[in-house]
Amino acid sequence: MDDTLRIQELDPLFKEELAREPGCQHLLRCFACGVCTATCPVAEIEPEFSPSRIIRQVLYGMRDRLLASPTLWYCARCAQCSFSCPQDVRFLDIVQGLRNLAVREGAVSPSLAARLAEAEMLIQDLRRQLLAELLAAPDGLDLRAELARALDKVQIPPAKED
Amino acid sequence: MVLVRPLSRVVSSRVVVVGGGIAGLTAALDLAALGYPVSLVEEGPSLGGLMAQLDKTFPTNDCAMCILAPRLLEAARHPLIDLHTLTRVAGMAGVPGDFRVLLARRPRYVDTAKCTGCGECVRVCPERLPDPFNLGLSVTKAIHLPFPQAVPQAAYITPEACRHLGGSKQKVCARVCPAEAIDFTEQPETLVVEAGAVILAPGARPAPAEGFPGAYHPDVVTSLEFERLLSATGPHEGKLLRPSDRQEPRSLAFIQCVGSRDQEAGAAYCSNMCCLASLKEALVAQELTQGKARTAIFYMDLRAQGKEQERYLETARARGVELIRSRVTAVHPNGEGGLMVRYTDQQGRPRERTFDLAVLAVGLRPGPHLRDWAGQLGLAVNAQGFIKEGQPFFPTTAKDGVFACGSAQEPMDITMAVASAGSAAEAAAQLLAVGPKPALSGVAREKTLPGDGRPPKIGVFLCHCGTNIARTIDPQALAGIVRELPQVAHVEDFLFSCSADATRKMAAVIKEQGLNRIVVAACSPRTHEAVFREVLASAGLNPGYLAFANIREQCAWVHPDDPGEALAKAGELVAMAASRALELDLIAPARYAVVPRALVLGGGVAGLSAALALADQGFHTYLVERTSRLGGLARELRFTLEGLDPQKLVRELEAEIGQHPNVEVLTRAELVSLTGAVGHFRSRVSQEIDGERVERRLEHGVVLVATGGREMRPEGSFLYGQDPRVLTQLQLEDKIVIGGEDLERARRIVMIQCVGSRSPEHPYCSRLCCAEALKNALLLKKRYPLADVVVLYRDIRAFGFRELAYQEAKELGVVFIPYEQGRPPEVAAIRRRPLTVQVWDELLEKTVRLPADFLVLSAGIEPAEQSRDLARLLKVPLATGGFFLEAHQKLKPVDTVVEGIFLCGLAHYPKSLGEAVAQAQAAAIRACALLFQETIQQSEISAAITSGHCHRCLSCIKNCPFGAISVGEDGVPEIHGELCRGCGICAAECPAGAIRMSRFTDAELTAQIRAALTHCQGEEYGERELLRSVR
Repeated sequence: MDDTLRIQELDPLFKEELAREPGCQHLLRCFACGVCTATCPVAEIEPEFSPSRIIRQVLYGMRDRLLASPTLWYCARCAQCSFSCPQDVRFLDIVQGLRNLAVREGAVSPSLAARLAEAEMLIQDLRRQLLAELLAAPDGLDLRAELARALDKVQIPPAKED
Repeated sequence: MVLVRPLSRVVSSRVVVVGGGIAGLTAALDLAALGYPVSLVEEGPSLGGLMAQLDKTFPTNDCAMCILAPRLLEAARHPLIDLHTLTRVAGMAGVPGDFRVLLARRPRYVDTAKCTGCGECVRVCPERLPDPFNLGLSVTKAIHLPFPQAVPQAAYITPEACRHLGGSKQKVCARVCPAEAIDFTEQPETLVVEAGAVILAPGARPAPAEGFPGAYHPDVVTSLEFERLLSATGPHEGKLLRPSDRQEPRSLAFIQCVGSRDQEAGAAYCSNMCCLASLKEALVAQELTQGKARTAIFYMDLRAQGKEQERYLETARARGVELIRSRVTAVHPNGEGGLMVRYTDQQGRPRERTFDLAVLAVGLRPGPHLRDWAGQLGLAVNAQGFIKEGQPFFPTTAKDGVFACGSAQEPMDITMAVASAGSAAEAAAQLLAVGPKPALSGVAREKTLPGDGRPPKIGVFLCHCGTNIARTIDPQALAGIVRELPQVAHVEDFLFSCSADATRKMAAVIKEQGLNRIVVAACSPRTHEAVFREVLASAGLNPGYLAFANIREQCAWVHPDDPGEALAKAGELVAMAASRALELDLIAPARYAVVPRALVLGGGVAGLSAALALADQGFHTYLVERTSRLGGLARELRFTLEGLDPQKLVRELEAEIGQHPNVEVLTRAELVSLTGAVGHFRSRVSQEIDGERVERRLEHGVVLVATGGREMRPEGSFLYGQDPRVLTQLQLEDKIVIGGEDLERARRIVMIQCVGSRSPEHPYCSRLCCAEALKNALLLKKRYPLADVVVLYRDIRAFGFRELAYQEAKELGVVFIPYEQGRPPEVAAIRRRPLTVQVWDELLEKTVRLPADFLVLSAGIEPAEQSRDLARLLKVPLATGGFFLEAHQKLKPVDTVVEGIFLCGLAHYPKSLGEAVAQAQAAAIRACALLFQETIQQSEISAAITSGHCHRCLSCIKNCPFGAISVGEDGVPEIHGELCRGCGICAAECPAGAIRMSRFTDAELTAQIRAALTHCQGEEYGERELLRSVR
């Protein structure tokens, strides 16, 4: 694996560009304290996802690598990071900003973005179903079995009519 | 920037100092030493401030109260200092030189003149309340003494808690008070004081931790609470125990930046002292658990930028204190007695650890009423809520005649507070220089007390020192041993012998019982000998009859696990002192005249400021500068982060010095030799005039070293000197001022911090490079917004309000990337291509290659070139890095170990322009205090030749390092008392034993050796033979 970042990969104006996305105006305040990552529930289970690392990549201007990175889409939007940040950097908005740029620049097609959004809703419904099963079931039932049952019941809510 | 100039009209030369913490105390003592009357106003019941609540102080790990208490006592007994406790300044009117200050005093309900601090009232008081001194961690009574060493040593009543004041008829305390000191009829009082100047030193408060998740848990404590827990006078009496179950914690977490560097909490600044405080607390915790406790500090940047602090950091690391670069914003009790901390590792992955105890390093906040109170006095606070008028570290405020110092200006540690206070005192002294001639300084010029020819009666006073001594050595058992010693007439023990009450008792007992040889067995004579000598003097006994036994540092503290042996050893130490006491002679030192002139070495900003201060006080000052121009390093600076204009400052100082009748400037001049002693130095200065070297012989009472420093030239590092695009920060600043196409076209500028500093060759932090880098980065970004500026750092030491500049730099797009000491960046240059700076990024686990049009090295600061030679000439030792060593890091930062020689500016340690000026003023006021005395006492330890035994071999003359001995009549050497420094070399070398060292006579030494050998138990190691051989 190539462990060197070269000149061509760095766009020093990327951070200013991202800072213009909604909610991202405090991006530059970050002083790499690590609190966002320490409180992130996704980072806890996914070693590739690290808010600290994402910000570092933004500051270097690793535009192409970042916008094409699947990790942008792992964020569960729980906002723990934004809540905990002592500098009001609003990492949640930064992830959204990066996603917007990724779609706008074509790193991710609009249809993929739509499917990812749909997937988020599916996950939310699955979560709700699983919790409902567990709360209704007596103790001792296998978690995987419950997950399978919930999966059967999951639906994508219909699109709202205007 | 405003240079303080003497007023033309001064009605009162009194100075009101507001705040009795270390800053206020220092300012008051400095002014009183100069003869200015001082009113020291403290809002609480005792002097001492936050420092009194600390257990130890960094980086020496001295016990805080031990170094503070002598100063508290000095202030208490100084005839020129009026103490007003439980008092606030309620208003002010008038003009500088003629103020009327309104003081409002709350009732204490106890008469401090009568109260002896006996504690009976406390014992019987029925109402309990949380002890404010112990931050609520323990319980005290409605009437109590603030703390054991409180000054004034008197109780006070908390009105809200007192039952009688709440309406009850009971007056239990008043009934039992043996001194009838309690007075419930006391009313609030106001008092108007006339003063010429006011110094504000109200200090700061620890930031609140209540909002910190997990802070409610008993085992999550703030740093100040932890200090109380560690302290011998605290709720756990110096044992490290968890509040929840009183068990010793096996692991401790220290969490930095709680309430600081926190935009959201409204305190974006850095509190300056918490990193060191946590390092200290971790080290002490390890010590108290014999190295068993695991300690970890969670930090963002380790701000160890003070003198000897980098060494301290390395010590902590070497002793196993774990340093984890990750901020923590919550502690989660896990329900099983453990505290879970979540953090991010260097690779950007979350981790968790569990600890037994968590310490929140809370920062400093301005006092809650500072804004309103300052407003009442016509002053504003800055955006952070501290008193400051744009000029950092300068004592002047927006109101003429009102000065500020200490943490009320900017969060700072004790060392900075002491220097800041010295500069405020000097500013006030300068302002009032033409005032009604201040009373000559010095506590009543002591008449030498006569010798005592009566049969000896020894009084032995044993100190518990709280639990410092008593925890290991049983005072009653020791008293039992001591009572058996020959000629001991009285034995008494005290909890704190240095407290005002104990010293009063001691003096009384000495007088009543006619004791004429006194042994004090306590802590170190270095800090406390003077205190007990005063006790003897106040009892009418010549201070020479005091023999001091150190049973703390030399016994209790080194044998904590062996109380039995410690007791035996303490008995021997006291026996030795008692035997010595029988051989002691009076101290009757000669006095000699002080030459009221000063020599300032170095014509930079520090030297200029110091010379101006001395000259204003009326002392003729020689200013010796090696180069042809004045101004020093400041000449090369155009901007400072603090906003000071260096060029303007140099011009103003030069103008004032140029026209001052009391300053004689010698440029192109160097010190060639220095002889003499404090009060009367004789120097030879070689000056180049019209191409020829001319020698001047000067006489003066003091010397101030302000020889400055220079930027390191890191030849060979990072292609410096080989590629013109590699610059130092000073060179970059120059380039920014000149401008130019190459800078305009630059696309990226990379800076590397810590070049030269924090390395084996220079194991210290150069303190100002982070601020310089920020300054230049801001200048670059503001002039060339499209240039990418990247700073590669180890720790960003933007302490205090410099943190705000760090914020600003980030918001302008400057990128900051950390690197490890073991993996520094590398630079490569290919002709006609940009430089390539390569750095290992631990977070991304990649090597990053940054093309750079310029590479700027934050090279450190070294002392001036000839510092080593100068140190040899002056016989002043050097500290880490070759900077001059001060007498005491915390409380004597501008004195050197040689009396009469003072120190300031970069020669002492790298510091900013503002700090250099402040320290120079602090040094000047110390020097002035000395010069104001018309005579100085000869050192009590000095040599005398017994001519009858002298063989005239002249070994003494050959060996004296100070040139204090010369050949006298009939060839017998003559010792010049005023030059003798009491080193003892001549006495050791004399083959005839003809030289007597006072305070270390053969009789005294022999007596001690005999006592040690006869007193010890058991006859091992051939004591009989040794005994026989001792004459």
